Amino acid sequence: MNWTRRDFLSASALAAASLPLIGCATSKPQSKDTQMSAKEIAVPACNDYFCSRFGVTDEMIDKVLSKTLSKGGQWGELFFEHTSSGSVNLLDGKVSSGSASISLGMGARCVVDDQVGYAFTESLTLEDMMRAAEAAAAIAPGVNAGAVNPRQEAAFKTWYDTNYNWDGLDIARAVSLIQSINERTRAKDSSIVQVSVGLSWRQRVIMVSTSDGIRATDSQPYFVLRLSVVMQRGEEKQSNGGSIAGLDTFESITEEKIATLIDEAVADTQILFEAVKPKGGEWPIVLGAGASGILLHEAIGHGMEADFNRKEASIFATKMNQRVASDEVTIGDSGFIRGSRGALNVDDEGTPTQDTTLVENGILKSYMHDKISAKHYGVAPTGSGRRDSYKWAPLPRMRVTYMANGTHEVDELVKNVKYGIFCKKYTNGQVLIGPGDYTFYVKNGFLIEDGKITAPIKDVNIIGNGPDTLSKITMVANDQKFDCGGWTCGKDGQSMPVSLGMPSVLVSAITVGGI
Amino acid sequence: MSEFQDIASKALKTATDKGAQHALVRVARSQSLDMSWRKGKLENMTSSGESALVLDLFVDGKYGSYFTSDMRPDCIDSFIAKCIDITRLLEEDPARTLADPELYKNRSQDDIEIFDPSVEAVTPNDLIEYSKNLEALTLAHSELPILDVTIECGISQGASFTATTNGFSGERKQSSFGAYSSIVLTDGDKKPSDYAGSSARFKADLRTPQQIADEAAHFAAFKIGQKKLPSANRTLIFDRRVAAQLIRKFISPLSGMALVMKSSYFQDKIDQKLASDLLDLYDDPLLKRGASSRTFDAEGITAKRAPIFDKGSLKQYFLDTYAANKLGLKPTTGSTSNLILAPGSRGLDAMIADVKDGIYVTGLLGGNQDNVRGDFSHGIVGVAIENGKLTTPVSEMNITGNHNDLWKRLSEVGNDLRSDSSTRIPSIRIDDVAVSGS
Repeated sequence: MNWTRRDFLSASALAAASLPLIGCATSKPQSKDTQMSAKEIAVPACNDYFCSRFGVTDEMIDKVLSKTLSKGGQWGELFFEHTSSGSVNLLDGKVSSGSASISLGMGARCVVDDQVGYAFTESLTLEDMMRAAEAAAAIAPGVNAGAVNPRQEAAFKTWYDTNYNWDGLDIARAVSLIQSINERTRAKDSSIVQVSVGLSWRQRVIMVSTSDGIRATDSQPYFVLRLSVVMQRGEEKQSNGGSIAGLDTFESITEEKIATLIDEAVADTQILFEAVKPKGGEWPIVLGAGASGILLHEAIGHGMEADFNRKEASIFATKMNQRVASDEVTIGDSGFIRGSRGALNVDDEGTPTQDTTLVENGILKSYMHDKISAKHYGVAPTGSGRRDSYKWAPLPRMRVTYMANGTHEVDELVKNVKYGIFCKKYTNGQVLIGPGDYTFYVKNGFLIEDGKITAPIKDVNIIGNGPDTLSKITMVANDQKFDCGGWTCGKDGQSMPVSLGMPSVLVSAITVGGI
Repeated sequence: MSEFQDIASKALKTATDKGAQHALVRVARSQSLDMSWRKGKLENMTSSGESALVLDLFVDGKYGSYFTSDMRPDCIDSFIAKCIDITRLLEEDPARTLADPELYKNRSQDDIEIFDPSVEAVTPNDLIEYSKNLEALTLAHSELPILDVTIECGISQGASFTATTNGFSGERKQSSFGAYSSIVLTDGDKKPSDYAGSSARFKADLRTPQQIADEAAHFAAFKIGQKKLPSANRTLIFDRRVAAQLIRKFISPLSGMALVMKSSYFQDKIDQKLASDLLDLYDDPLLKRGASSRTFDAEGITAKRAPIFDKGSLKQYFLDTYAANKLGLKPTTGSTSNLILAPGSRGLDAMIADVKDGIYVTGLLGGNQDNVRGDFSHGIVGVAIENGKLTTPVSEMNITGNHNDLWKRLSEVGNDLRSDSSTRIPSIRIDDVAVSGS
C-alpha cells in the first residue's frame, strides 16, 4: 500500500535519510545478568520539559483532554514529542555532509472500544491543540462527555540514560570519530575502493497524559553508527557493511566496539570474493547466534502483535496456550535490554515496559498488547504500544525479540547437517501475517557439507512459514547473543527501532533461494 | 503562497546574514484526512496538518541539510544559527554546490494538473459513505471464504515554495486521493490476504469502487490452497504490479549516490545494451495528472522527459548536482518521476496462454539485491501456469538471479499499463528464471 499522507513532505531534501536495514557487527555476548541490571525507580528528568520550553501547562492539558472526550469518547490521550536529530556523513574520504532536524508536535487520541480518532498539531498553542482534540473526538458520535481523572506520574526502571542529550554533542568529536574509522578501515585492505561512514542520532523526549490518569515522560537517546565498504579485485567488486546502534551515549561507542565494527565489515566483504550460490531447495539451516533473531522477528514476532490477532488476521490467532515448538524453545520480547536499540523504559501510551514471554518451553503464552488490544482480551497491556512519532496513533510493536539459551554446543548443530546452510548476517526480512509466510535475506553465510562448515555463500533469500519453522527447530545452542545493529521495523507505514537476540539454532528444513 | 514566500525569503536572508554563501530553502505545508473502516464501522480516523522548513546550507565550501517543523519565527532564526555552526564543523567539498542556474531555465509553463480543487470539499462523511460502499461491494464476493475486509481511504493536499540564493524560485500545489480494499480469507489454518486499490491526483481518475472490489477479490482468490512447487528454471509472467516493483529494484543503482559509492552495476554502462530490445523505459515528469509529475525537481532543475533505456540500451543516470560534480558528468535529476515502460500489443490472458510451464507472479515477498554485482533473491507468490492455464496457487518459493542477465530474457511486454500509478508498467514475461521451492 503505497499511498500515504506523508508523500508530500517526504519529497524534501531529507528524503534520502531513511535507515537501511544493514546487518551489523555483534559485540561480545553479554550475560543476561548485566543486561537485566536496571537502575532503581527513576525520577524522570523531563517532568516539566514541555511546560518550561513550550508553555504547555497542566491546566491546558486538562482542557484539551476534556475536548477529546466531548463527543463521548471512553478515554483520551495527548502525546507530546520533541525530537532533535542530527547526522554527520563521510564519503570518499571527506565528511562532506551533515544534517540536523527538529520536530515538535502533539497527537490527540480519542478511543471508543477499538475505534480510534486521531489528530495532531505541530503548534502547541491552546487554540491549535483544541482544534486537534476536536477532530479526534469526532470518532465518537455520542453526546455524553467522558471525565478526565487525576493523573499520577508513572514510575519505571530505566534501561538507558534519560539525562543524556545527543543534542548537546560536540560535532567536532563526531567528525573526528568518523574520520578515524574511515582511515582505519582503508588501512585494513588495499583493495578497498570506497568507504562511507555515518553517525546519526535522535534525541526523543515524550510526554503522555491520559484521561484515565496516566502521566509518563521519557527521554530517549537513539544513535546509529554505520560503516560500509566496497572492495575491488581485478574487475570484481564486492560490498558489505555493519552498524552499531542503541539507546546510549556517544561515550558508549568504545574503542573495542569500533574495532569489532571495522574488523567484521572488512572481513565480511573480503569473504564475498570466495562466496558461491547454494543449490536452491529445502535444506536444513543453522542460524548463527545474534542477528539470526530476525527469524523470531519475522516468523513469530509480527504474528504475535495483538492487533493482528484481535482482527483474527494472524496465523497465531487460534493457537494461544497450544504447543507451537519443542520444549527447548522459549521466546520473549523485552524492553529490558540495557542500551539496546529496542530498549524501552515506558511505551508511547505511558505503560512501563516489560519482558514479555511469548513462547515458554514451546507453548504460546502471550501476545504483545497495546491498551486497545489488552482491553479487547481482558488482560494488562504489555508495554508494547509504540509509535513512529506524534503523527501516528500507537500500535503493538516489538522491542528486543529474543530466544532463551538451549543446552547444545553450536558444533553439535553443525555436525547434524549433511548438506545445508549456516546463516550469519542479514539485510532484510518480511512477513505475511495471515498465512505466516516470511522471508529473510542472507548477506553472509556458509555451506555445511557432511557436518562441516565449508564454502562461504552470499545473497540468498530464505523463505518459510512461521508456525512450520517453529515446529522444525530441532536444536537450540547455549550461545545466546544480542545484536547491536541498526534494525528498523516497518509496519503500516510506521518505522520503529528494534533489536534482536538469539542462540544458534538448527531448523530441519527451510526453502533456500539458489540456482 | 505569499506567506510561504515571506518565510522563505526571511530564512534565506538570515542564512546569508549569519555566514552562508549559498542556500536553498523550501517551505511546505500539507493537510490530510485518512480513515480505515471495518465491520461496518469506523476503525480509525486521522486528520493531520504538517509543516516543514527545509534548508540546504553552503558555508565556506561546506554543506549541511536541515529540517524543522517548529515554525515559530524566533525558533527559525536560532535554528538557522545552529545549522550554520554545525556546517562550519564539517569538511570542505567543492562538489557540494547549488545547481547551475542554467538548469533552472525553460521550465514548462503548462498546467500539469496535479491539484484537484475538489479535494477541499471532501468531508469525513464523504469518506465514510465511500468506505461503506466499497466494503459492501467487496463483501458481495460471496464466492470467497472472507474472514475480514478492511477499507482504507484518504485525501491529502499540500503546497510548497522553494527558493535559492542563485536565482531559483518555484511553487507547487498538489492533491491526492486514495482508496484500498483488503481481504483476509480463511483457508484451513491459514489466513491469506490480498488487496487492491487506486490513487490519483484527481478524484475523477480513481478507479471505481466496483473495479477495486473486484480486483481485490480476483487476487485474493489466488491465495487459496497455496503450494510449493519443485525447484526448476521457469518462464515467469509478472503481473503489472509486481513488474513495477521489479523494475524499480533493477534501476535503483542508477542513482547518483550508488555511482559515487562505486556500488552500481550500471557504472560506465551508458549507451551499452543491457537488456532485451523490449525494454523501452522512460521517465516523464510532465505527464498530465501523473502521480509524480513536476515541472522542477528538488534542486530546482527543470524537469524534462528522458529515456532511461532505449531498446535495451542504457541512456541516463539519475544525477543530482553533487553526484554529477563528483563523477565529472552533467546533472540530470536526482530522482525518478513517472516511470513508463512502452507497452506491447497483447493482454495478460494471451501472454499466460502461451506458457507451457511457468508461474504467474502476483506478489514479491522480501528479499534483497547486491547493487554492486546485481545478484538478487526474492520470495514470490502467484499461480502455476500449466499448458497455458492458471492452475495451483503457489507460495514459499524464491526467485534468484542476476539483474545483468535477467533483463536480457525479457521476452514480452503486455498492453495492460495503468494510469493510476507513478510506475506505468504493464505485465511482463521473463524466461528461464531460477525458482526454488521444495
